[in-house]
Amino acid sequence: MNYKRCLRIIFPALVCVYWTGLHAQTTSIRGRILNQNDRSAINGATIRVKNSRAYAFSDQQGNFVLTYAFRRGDSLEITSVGYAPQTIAVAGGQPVTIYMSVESKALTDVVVTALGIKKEKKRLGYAVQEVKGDALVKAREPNVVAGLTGKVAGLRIANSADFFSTPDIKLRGVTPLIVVDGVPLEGSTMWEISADDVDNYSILKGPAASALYGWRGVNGAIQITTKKGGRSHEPSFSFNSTTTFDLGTIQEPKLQNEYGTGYDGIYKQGDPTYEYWGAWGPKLDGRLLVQYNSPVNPDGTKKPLPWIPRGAKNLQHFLRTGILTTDNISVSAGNENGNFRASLTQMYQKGVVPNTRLGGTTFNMSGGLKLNKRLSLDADINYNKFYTPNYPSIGYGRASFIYGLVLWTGANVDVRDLRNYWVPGQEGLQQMNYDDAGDYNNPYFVAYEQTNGYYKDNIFGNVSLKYNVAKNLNITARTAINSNGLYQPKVYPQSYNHIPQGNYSEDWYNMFESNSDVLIDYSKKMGDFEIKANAGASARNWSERNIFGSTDGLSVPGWNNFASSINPTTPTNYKNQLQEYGTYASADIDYKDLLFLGLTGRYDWSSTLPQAHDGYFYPSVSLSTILNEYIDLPKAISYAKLRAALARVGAGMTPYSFTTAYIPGVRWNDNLTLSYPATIISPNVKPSFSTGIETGGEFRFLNNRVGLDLTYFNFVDGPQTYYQAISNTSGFTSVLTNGRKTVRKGYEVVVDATPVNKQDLKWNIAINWSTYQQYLKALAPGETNEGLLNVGDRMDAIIGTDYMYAPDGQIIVGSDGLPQVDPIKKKLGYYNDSWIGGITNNVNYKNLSLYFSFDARVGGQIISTYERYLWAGGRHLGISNSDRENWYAGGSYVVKGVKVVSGTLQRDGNGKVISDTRKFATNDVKTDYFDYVQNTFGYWGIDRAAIVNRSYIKLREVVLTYHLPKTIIARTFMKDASLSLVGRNLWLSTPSSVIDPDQFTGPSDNLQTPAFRELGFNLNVNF
Amino acid sequence: MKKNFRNIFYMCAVLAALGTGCTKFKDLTLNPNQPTQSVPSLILTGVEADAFQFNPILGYETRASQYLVSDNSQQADQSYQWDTTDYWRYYNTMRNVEQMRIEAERTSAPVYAVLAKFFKAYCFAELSKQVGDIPMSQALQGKSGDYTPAYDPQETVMDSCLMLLEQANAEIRSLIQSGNPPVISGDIIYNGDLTKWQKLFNSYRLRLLIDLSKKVADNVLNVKTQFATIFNDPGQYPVFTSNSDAAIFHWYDKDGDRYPRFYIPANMDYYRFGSTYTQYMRAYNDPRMMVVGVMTQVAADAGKQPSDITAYNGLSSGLSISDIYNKKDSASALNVARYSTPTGEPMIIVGYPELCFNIAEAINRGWIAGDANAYYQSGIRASMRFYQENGGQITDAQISAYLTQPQVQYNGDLNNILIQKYLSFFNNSGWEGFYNILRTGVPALAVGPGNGNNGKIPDRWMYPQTEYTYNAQNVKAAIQRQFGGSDDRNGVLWIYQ
Repeated sequence: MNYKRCLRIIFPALVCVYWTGLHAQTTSIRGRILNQNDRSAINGATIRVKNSRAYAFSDQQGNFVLTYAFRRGDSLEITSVGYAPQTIAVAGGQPVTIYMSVESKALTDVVVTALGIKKEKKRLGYAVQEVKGDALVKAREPNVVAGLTGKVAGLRIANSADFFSTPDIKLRGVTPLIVVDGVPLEGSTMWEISADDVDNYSILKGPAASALYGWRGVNGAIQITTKKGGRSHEPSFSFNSTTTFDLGTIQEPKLQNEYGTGYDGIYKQGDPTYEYWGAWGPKLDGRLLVQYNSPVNPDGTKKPLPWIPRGAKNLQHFLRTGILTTDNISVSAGNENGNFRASLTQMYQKGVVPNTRLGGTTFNMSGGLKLNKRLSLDADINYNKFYTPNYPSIGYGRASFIYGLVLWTGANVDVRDLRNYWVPGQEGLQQMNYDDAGDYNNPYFVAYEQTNGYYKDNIFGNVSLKYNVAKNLNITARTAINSNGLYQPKVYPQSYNHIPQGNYSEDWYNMFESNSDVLIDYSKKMGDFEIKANAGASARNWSERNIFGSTDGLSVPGWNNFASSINPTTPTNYKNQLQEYGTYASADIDYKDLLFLGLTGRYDWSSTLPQAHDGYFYPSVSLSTILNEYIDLPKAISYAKLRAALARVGAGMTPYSFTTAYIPGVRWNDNLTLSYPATIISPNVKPSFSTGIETGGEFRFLNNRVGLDLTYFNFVDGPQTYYQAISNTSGFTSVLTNGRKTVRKGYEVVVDATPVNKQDLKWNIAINWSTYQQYLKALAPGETNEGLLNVGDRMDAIIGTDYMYAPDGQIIVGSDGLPQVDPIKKKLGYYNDSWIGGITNNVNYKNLSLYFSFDARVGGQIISTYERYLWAGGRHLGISNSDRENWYAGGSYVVKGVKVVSGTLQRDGNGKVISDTRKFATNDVKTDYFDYVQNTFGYWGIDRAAIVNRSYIKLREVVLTYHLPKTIIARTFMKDASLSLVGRNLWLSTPSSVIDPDQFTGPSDNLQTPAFRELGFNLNVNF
Repeated sequence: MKKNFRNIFYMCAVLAALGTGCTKFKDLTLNPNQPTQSVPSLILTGVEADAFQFNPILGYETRASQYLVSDNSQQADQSYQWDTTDYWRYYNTMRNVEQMRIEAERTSAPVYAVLAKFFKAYCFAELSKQVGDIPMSQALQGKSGDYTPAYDPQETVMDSCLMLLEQANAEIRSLIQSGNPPVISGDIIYNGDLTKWQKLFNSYRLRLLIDLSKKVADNVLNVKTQFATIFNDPGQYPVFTSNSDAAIFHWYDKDGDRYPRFYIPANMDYYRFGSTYTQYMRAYNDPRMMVVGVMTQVAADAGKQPSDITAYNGLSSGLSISDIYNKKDSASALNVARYSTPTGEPMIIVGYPELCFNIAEAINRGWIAGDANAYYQSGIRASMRFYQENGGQITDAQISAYLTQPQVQYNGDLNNILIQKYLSFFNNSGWEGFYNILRTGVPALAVGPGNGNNGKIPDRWMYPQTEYTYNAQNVKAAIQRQFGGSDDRNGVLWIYQ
């Protein structure tokens, strides 16, 4: 209690006291306003003493204090937008907890729309979906956006198991703009935002919703509203802490551990032939063989060691338990004249790969001040630093531990023997490895010496002034800045394969952006009509600078400095700059609260466009109507709304893309080379445009117990400003011109329901399901195809090599005994998902609540790099032991298929058959099993054979929370406390036995880190 | 009122950033990172690197011509299953050649325009030898809006290339003789030596004329006459007279300039010498073998000396991969020490040995009069000296001894010349070695289970898929004209018909 008193001294509350009579006794009522459905705090609810002028607001934890000279019979009126108003009698017993139910008329919900303008959801003619910030602070991911996975229809977030990788965010198939408090943070990776500072995520799904952001809003937007100080007079503190551990994998490559390193069943230590091909060596049956770690006998010979699968658990031994901890403390306070909030978040992550760690510090401060009767000021600033001295290198290559430890090594090598990775006596000079021939790197050597650093400082913030000029007329002026600096040092140590002399490089990047705008809003009611109009102008300045330098070899190993370079090198640098100006206007017209019309228009100028065409206009229109207001609907339908929107958005280009300039190339013997660009710039390049239609409906049934939101969208991206490929016999490979069109189409369904709604037990469920595909709609006049894609085709085809097939579908085997590869590449499948979906559940029982969510992506395919190289390196479980032994014994292998006995196939260059006189017979041409594997599945494999279905369903998140009972809370300094057990990535089902397909959205995978299950706890205290 | 002014002042302060940094749009359109103009010399360096840089050792050329065999997996080169040409990239090289010409005009440096003529002749001719008909007369006109050039018949292409070389020779001669010869900068081949460039123009022209040996009857090209004119007038048409005149591409121990095989000795272990090559090395007791290869494992185990030619051997390219793998100990591997250094082995683009053999062949064919044996011997000597000059242990005594062997003597048989020419083409001159085999059938290439092209050696490459997408009408017309509509690797080119 003392503690609380101290805090009051430090942060004196501005208490407003209203005297209503001399006889009354002044007392304070404390309480908390919660959402009846999910017990989440309601911020900004008004608590008013009935028939008086005394009132208070709830803060971000839902707490309020109302001081008043209460009399017997007084009651409190509680109102909050979107909730049913309540009146309760003032009674003894404190604090009071008031549960508010979502207003039955529903969708008086207020949502945050473009430029941070709040609108009632029912008025919108387009789809907006919101997620409360609280939903993302318990079971955490290092990057805040990962928490949105599976929660929003049409939003696909691909999460990588790789340490410090940025999730791939796609909204209706394209990358949305990230907006914080109405200010775009272009190019944001979301690392700079702490989940603890987020009040609300508002996902604007299409161009109609985000048209006011200009061209950057064309792909929709994820808008973040940060927490503000609120208006509760007393300062409130919040502490939130989450710690999770990576406990065991949910997916890792399954490997054969029966055969060791070698080739053709033979292993010879130090002989490249027997060390490069991976696990094609002798059976790990305990035979004695000289190995890399054999002790040396006095006579100089090496002592053979047993050949056994000591390394069967290499991955488990190499990877360690990762830890993620996040702690946040925040304080907020406010009154009618101002508010303030400060928050500090510290994140630390220890990666599963040795010697990887990541720190993140975020400081956020926001405040508002009423300067005078008409003028109010708001300001926010967010500082963030991310720093890691080393994150792992991922992808097929010699820096990947998967490459050295899994793909190209047999289980005879035990990674634990490699921990001391320097050759004794040659520390810092020569790595020790199982591969004496020197093609692979010791995974510990890479982890500790081949380091990739990343240090990023980010500041963004804004100042905004709102001037209430007259009743219904406001002017808001705002300036926002966003700036970041990124420093990336990278070290290749001495004796690294294949950079034997080592290397050191630094990359410095700096970005600065400012956005200033002025916005006038006016509203007026005229009879049955209400008009809300906005007009504004904006200016944007953006610039970036980069310098990159690298040594060419290091003169002194470990001296990581440019001065150490053995040979002179030239650094590279660039700077880019652009400016854009825009003016815009919008109007919302409301007829009798049942028909709503929205209009927007914007005119932009961009320095990235040719001067003749540097300005462009684009409009949007949206319409919605609430049917139940004027049509008698069946009783089961409590609410029905239809909506439609049409928007067009124009866009500029990246800076300097319409200037033709020489490209510097490699220096030959110190002679600089310049080459002429391969693109012809059409002098009349115009801005590109996208046009989108979106229609849908919102329905609520059974007294609001069930809700349904349906959307169909059809966005035409085009005519685009694009590079039309041309025959390079013209001397050029493409023309920058206008004309190409692609179309994105899809459906989105959101269902929410409350199957159980009892006093003590409540279960809410929310389901989202969506589809999205992109098609090629039109090309330049005369063009009908783009490579293998014809107009009308899906854009996500996987194009690769295939077998040659006989007319009856059998594989044709060539005169070398191997499956023949079709020289003409084909469409092998599609990488995009047929649909994605998620289910979230909230179950509340007394003081316990359980949250769990599943999500799925279904129908996409991928060419798996993992699959291919597991076959190549002899560790794939599909490799037949009997065929392998047969090869070792010198036996041959006959591929199942047919051979051509006579005749020829003649095709034109498109693969169209001109004549086919081939006759076939069952194949009897021999090859050997190794060649068959390598040329079909493995190193020179056919793409068709590496296609994997990458559908999955995942138990994404489980949070079990215990809320400390009120009776106990009342006796402490706390207002509220909860403890949660949290889990993420707990269960996965996917056809692949190798990859967690979660992170992959394109046509191939990339040797990801095994996917781990995360378990931990969260503590949340408010006081 | 006063308050209102103050409010307005605050508003303006917040918006101050609206106006700051207001650079004129026009200034922001200029790209600060790249130049819009260049001097021709900076383009020349890149053109030379693009046009002349071949993939040493591991390029397809060495296996297609059966100098080497690979022991791991069936690749398109060794199994003769290749499809489209990658020489189409020469059109990108020629975009820069054309730009070099434009910048030469702008900066009044006509010598670069002369070099541009040579590079066009070189790129078009080498490209045509891969596929047949190609766009030439209408090609490279993208800037004026022609994106779909028609294909010229191979005969026209060859004729135009020879003409370009004739012009280049005349123009460079007048520049040399002008009394104030121009300077060429950025030249990584000849370091600006105009006379060597002139020799290259004419020596290369002789290569093209020899490539056309089956077309002696063609009265557009007049192959014989052209050859004789050049050969008989060295004042007007100087040609190479030693290895130092030859066009040779060098690698440097500098970032980005290193030998492509530097520090990946492991990959070279997959390769063994092919018996098509080693049969002559063994039969002729050839000292070049000791430079390029090492003893077989079998010979080393038997205690043979490196100087003993019987310690070297090769494997037939017709063998299946598993056979090659199983027999690899009985074949010579590459001399990894030679081919994995930062500067590797300089690569001959158009060499002096080739010129000697071309002249010897022309004499043998009766196109010109002269001492074929003398050119034959010069060619052998020049090839040996090339290794001698580039780190190979070959003594003058060894060269003389080699030349005196009866089996090496020129006996008037064209095959003597063609085989020596083949031996001199190891790991250099791009695909020229293979083209000579296509043209003459010498030496006979091995065919066996390892061949995936139904026992045939392909005669050409297919046109790239992009042509069927972006220039379909013209490529289909060319295919129809040459091969009756079928674009495959076994169609015989006009120059070989």
